Amino acid sequence: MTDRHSTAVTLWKEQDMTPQTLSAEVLASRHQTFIRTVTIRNRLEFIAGAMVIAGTLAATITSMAAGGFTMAVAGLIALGVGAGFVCLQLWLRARAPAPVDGASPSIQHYRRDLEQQRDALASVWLWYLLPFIPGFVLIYADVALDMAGGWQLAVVLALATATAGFLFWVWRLNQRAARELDAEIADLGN
Amino acid sequence: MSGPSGPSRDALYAEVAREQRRMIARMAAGYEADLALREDLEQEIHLQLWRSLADYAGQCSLATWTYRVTHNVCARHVDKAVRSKRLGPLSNLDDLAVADQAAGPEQATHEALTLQRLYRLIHQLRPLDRQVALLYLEDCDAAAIAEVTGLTPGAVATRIHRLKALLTNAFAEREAL
Repeated sequence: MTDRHSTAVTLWKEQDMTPQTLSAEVLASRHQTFIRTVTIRNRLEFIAGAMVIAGTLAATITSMAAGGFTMAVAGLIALGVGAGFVCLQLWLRARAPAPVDGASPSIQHYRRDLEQQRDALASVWLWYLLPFIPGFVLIYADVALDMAGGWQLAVVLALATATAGFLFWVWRLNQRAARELDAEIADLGN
Repeated sequence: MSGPSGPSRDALYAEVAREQRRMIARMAAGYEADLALREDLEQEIHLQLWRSLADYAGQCSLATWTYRVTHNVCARHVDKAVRSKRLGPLSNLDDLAVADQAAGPEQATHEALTLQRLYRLIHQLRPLDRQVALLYLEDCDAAAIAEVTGLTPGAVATRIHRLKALLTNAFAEREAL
């Protein structure tokens, strides 16, 4: 068995390889590129968030000019606030991936990575879905109350049900992914 | 950031690059089969290693630090590939069928083909098992593997035992000729 071990090790270590190394200048330059990329991404995310808020504001003003401060307008504002909150959460969660280090054993590093992903997925209802719900509820309620009944109300209710179904589907999908990660974490080191 | 930075970091990196560059290249090959992606991965390991050395203050040996950073970068690379469906599901050492590793006698006549078979085995493994396999092939003893990975010595021994069985089969056909 020892001979076989030696054979495997020799075969492995003596394979033909052309290793790379990077000069200090190249490393520093790539590090700066990385920092620049993160900065640009953060700015783009801020711009996207600002556009959502501006769009909501414009829709709110237009709706108010047309019919005053209705429940639908309150719903639009709530949707805008919700979207802003979600943008902020996405930015906070993506901006700082845990740095790669060698101070702790690999299994701890790996477990930390998996736990971070699992927690984000498991709490998706709280930070990704819930912020949109008040807005949807207010808008659909306003539209539904305006309907006298009949097929128009049925269409509104069907749309509301489809929205709820979509949110539920997103939640289930993320829960399943979180459970898979949970099993992977439990399996670590066994 | 604590620990050395600037020239000290560069000096540490130069030492690692000098002593460990071949190991890093082999590890990158162990985690990525595609040649172009492998080169990118190898460069990413060097970059992350250089960045991490700003925090190195003798917490462990430089070799252990390098093994850990290398694996952590590679594990993220593999995870990303699995989640983006570029790679299929990976297996534990226990789940690999020994027979699956056996090639026909005509295929086992050359070292390059045996190495190819070794790679095929390694590329099927999940990151933690792959790390144990690669450290074993780097001739690290069980205690060193336990220190790098954080696995208990018992868990390392179990994995090595299984790995030896797989390697035995991988080499058996070759020796039979």
